[in-house]
Amino acid sequence: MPKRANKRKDAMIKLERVEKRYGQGPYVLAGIDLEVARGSTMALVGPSGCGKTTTLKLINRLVRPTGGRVLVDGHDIAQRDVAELRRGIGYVVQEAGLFPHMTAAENVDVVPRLLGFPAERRERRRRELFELLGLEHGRFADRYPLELSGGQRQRVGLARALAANPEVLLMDEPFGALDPVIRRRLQREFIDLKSKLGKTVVIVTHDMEEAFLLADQVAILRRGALEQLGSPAEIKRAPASDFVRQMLGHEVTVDAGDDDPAEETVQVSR
Amino acid sequence: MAALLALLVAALLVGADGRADKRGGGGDGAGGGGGGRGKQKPTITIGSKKFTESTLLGEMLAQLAEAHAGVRVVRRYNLGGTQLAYTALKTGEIDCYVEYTGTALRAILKDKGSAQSASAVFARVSRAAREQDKLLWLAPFGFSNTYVLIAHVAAAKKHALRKISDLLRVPDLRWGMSYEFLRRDDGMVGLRRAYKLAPKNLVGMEHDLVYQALKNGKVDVSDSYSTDAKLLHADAVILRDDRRFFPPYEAAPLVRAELAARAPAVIAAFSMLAGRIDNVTMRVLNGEVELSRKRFASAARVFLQSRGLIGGKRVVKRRALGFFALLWQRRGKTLRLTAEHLMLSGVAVLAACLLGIPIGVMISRRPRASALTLAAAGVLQTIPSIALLAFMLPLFGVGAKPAIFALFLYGLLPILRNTVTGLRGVDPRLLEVGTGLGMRPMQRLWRVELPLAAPTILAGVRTSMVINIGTATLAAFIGAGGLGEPIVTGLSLTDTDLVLAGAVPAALLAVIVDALLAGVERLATPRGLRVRREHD
Ligand SMILES: Nc1ncnc2c1ncn2[C@@H]1O[C@H](COP(=O)(O)OP(=O)(O)O)[C@@H](O)[C@H]1O
Ligand SMILES: [Mg+2]
Repeated sequence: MPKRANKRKDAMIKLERVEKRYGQGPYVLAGIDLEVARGSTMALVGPSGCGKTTTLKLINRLVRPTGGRVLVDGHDIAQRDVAELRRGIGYVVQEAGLFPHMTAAENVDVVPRLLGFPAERRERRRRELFELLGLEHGRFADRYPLELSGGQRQRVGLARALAANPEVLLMDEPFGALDPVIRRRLQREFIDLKSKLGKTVVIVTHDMEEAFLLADQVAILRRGALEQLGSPAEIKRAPASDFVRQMLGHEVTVDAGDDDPAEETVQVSR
Repeated sequence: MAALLALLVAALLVGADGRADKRGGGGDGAGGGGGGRGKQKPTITIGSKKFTESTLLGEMLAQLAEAHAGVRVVRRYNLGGTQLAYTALKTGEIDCYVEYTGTALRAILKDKGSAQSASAVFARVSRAAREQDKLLWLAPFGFSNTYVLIAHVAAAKKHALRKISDLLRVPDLRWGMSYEFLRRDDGMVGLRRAYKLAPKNLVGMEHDLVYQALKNGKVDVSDSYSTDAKLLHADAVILRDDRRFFPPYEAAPLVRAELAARAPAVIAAFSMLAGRIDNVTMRVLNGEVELSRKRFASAARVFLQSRGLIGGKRVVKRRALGFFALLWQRRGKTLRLTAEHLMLSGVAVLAACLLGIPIGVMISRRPRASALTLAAAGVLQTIPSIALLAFMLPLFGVGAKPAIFALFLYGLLPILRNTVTGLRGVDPRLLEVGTGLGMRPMQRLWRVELPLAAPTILAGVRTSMVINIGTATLAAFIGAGGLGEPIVTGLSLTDTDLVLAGAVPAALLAVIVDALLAGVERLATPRGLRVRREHD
């Protein structure tokens, strides 16, 4: 019993002094340490180009670190078969990234197929997920992505990520391309889902409000380094720098060296 | 539009024909060959060596050129031996004579090397002739005038002799060999070595007496050459050269390279005999002159008419039919030629797919390899089809094989290019998602990349097929058959109806195949890419 409680608290995902540069380019990540507790949700926030996506892709090894190591469930992922690792990690991207030549059902079945699940098990799981995500199976299963609305596509994308029941879910700006109304709705549903499923989630967003809404822990990145890490309450109470204050939408003088202030302004004014 | 390719090819050839006449006219004046009646009629000179076969074949070429290329032919037969004829050709005294590949190898290139395959020898001598002496070997007639060993039928039956090595079992046979054969390295000298033969009873004699001696039962084994007319009537069987000792002696027109530019129609006319004369036919033809005492001109004419290669009464009658009647009359033949045509281009495109698609897949993610491969395939595409077909002759000889290989090379580029373009066009974000979901490279290729690139790849296959159906009409020039056959013959006979009897079915074939493949392309387009966006 105490062992289990202990396990609940330990880190499902751990980044140790991770560095990344593409080829001979500049360091995109300069020594990041990060822990995501089992069953919790971590949001990566920051202006465009600060390294959020790179950090996320380090976890399913779409990006290999230049230095440091990444552990998932206590194991260094560099030691694992990379395809098997990825099949155990759900992955959702902006615009859902559905395969246009596959129906909604075929898209959702991709990972179960890779894992060799029999047809009836795949279908049972798919129906379960459609129901969970509020999609009518009879109506949408055989539709192609082009025949779905943006919100429906995003639900199918989420279903696909959850199909093999992974412990970890990675989401890269999953609601970024949706109009505000649908976006609100999906955010609320996601909070619901999170508590039902108990997955470990890392979600990338450049919207501070979304991060505070969805995450237990928020990591604010700035030019490849961790600017502040804490719960939404902690960050709101004690912003670590002007940069964070600015992210929060407070009036501050703009630091001229910051990445893409134009993008930030858009986000802040929303 | 692509479907008109076959017609276009025919039109181009007719155009080339017309140009050749005009240019040849200039050459006539410069050559000083003497005007005769028509100032516009160019002159070519055909020679021969001093023996029946050489002159008879020379005469056939002369008659074909006169009938189909609109030229006047000066005949300079019986020039003597190889050296004389070859020198006359090099210096431009003559434009063409019939030569043997084995002779060229030994007498001209002084190559004493061991026997090689017929196509290897052809490749060797034709390259040397082109590079050193600016001479072109055209496609061989289809027979090889090599030495053969023969045995009397009685002896052959008694000792079950079928091949030369069978002679080893029967050392006490009586051998009567011609003097020249005994002396030659590629005759008895080499033969002894190659087969370890040690005949106990061997006498030399004049070749003319060989058949008499066989007939009278004086000898059991002798030598001859494979197109000797007397073989037809002798009580002798030819022993198979099972160790392939005797070198190939394929006969083919040897022409000055500038003739191809000056009078391409002459080359086309000469090519009508490509692959049309086998060993037995040549024996019969030699017999017409040597045994039946026919004159060269009439023996040549009768043969060419019998094969429909020059006009006789039959041709005139058929021409009166008109195009549609001709087409109806030829329906069976057209069907067979269409099948042949489809086979040529189909096999070529299939091979191009089998090689082009995997290579395309391999290079598509490597920009440098892609650029290099596509450039190489692009160069192939710029070689004129006739020239590409001609390059194939030394490699494969005449017939379907070289044609299919050339068509395959032509078909490669569109397939390669579209495979590369199709795969490169796949959204990189989808590739990353595929990888991110745990697909291995092969799984990603089959489940994501190929389905999304399929329409583009198939469009390449379709282009390749349509191009190939057009180009395959030229394959008839190297004896590969197909719908080009009536086109080539028709061009030579200046029989427009006959040209159309090949060109129209070829064009129709291109249209139909194009439409069919367009259908396949639509079917292969994933449904998800065809549907329209419909909001709920
Ligand atoms: N494949 C790549 N090659 C080179 N540079 C890259 C590559 N991917 C991302 N970068 C660079 O790394 C930095 C961080 O990118 P990214 O992680 O995508 O930022 P974010 O997701 O926060 O917008 C950017 O400057 C970007 O240009
Ligand atoms: Mg990003």
